[in-house]
Amino acid sequence: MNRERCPDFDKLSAYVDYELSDGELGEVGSHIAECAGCRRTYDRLVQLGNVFSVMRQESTEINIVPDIERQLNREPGARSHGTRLYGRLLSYGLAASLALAVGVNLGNHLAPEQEVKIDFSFTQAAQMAPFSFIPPGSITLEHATCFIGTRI
Amino acid sequence: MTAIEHQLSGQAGDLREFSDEDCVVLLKEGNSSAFAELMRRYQSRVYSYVLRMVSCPDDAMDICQTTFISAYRNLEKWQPNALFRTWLFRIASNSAIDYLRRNKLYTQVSLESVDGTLTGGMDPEHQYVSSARCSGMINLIQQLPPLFRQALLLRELEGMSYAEIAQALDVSEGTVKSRIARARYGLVSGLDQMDGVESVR
Repeated sequence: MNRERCPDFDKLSAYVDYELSDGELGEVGSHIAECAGCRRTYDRLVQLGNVFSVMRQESTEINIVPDIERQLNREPGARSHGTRLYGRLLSYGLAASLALAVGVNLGNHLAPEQEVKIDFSFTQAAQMAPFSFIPPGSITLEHATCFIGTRI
Repeated sequence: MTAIEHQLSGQAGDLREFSDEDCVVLLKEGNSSAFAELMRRYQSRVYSYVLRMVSCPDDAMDICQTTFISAYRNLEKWQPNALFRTWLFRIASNSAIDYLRRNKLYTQVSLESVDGTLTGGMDPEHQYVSSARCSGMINLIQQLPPLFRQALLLRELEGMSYAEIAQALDVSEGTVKSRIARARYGLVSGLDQMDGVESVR
């Protein structure tokens, strides 16, 4: 066989992968059928492919989906339903708070001035004693301590 | 109504029937389960590819995770005219090359360190091939230059065409053809030496 006509290794490699034109595939195929040297090289390439075929069948099953989802859910702006729902609820809450603040402010301006005065001073709050450990009407509480603040 | 519209209408659907590209569109629309589906499709394949690139199971796992997180973060850069698979393996390839450049690690992976068995469910011929060849082949693969290695692995493990590999590695098809051939030449020569057979031309 005239070795000058032999396809180079690149072409034989591409032939194994069917990555040649139809004309080249036929040409190389005919040559391999006649040339013992190229036939041997071709056989080695096919054997190589068989080894890779075995490697493809190895079990390399992994499951990284939960880990990655956990990482991504920690990121701001993650594309998840939970984050979108949280953002929506947050926006609703902010809108409601804003509306309440505006309403109170407007109400203070629009409502007529009245003589209602509320003393939020510490002494007034102390008279209410909401967290006192002494129950209301207890006989152990001295009368004077009930009015430690100024009355309105 | 197209498949995507059907999903977006709020009806629970099985994403397995969707193409990769449809899943990406769904993901961009806010359907996070589409990304989980894409991960389920490709996690083992990316891991297998990266494992053969870096040869260390733990590092391969880290690179695999980095690949998917990077894909998620850069989803806006994915072009609809590109296959998601080639885009994903491009990220994996770059991550693996970065790892190799950073660490210069060429340790060898033993077959026992990989989960599962190599020979389960194979016919006797394949069992012979696996026991006699795979360990030597894995060693030879690690000795290949990384650029040759990644082109060959994408071809042999992923079954990509030269055009797809060219897209994944951002090189010309001619370069892919040359890299694969050189990688094969190295492997065939190595296997011949192991067998004591006269080397190829």
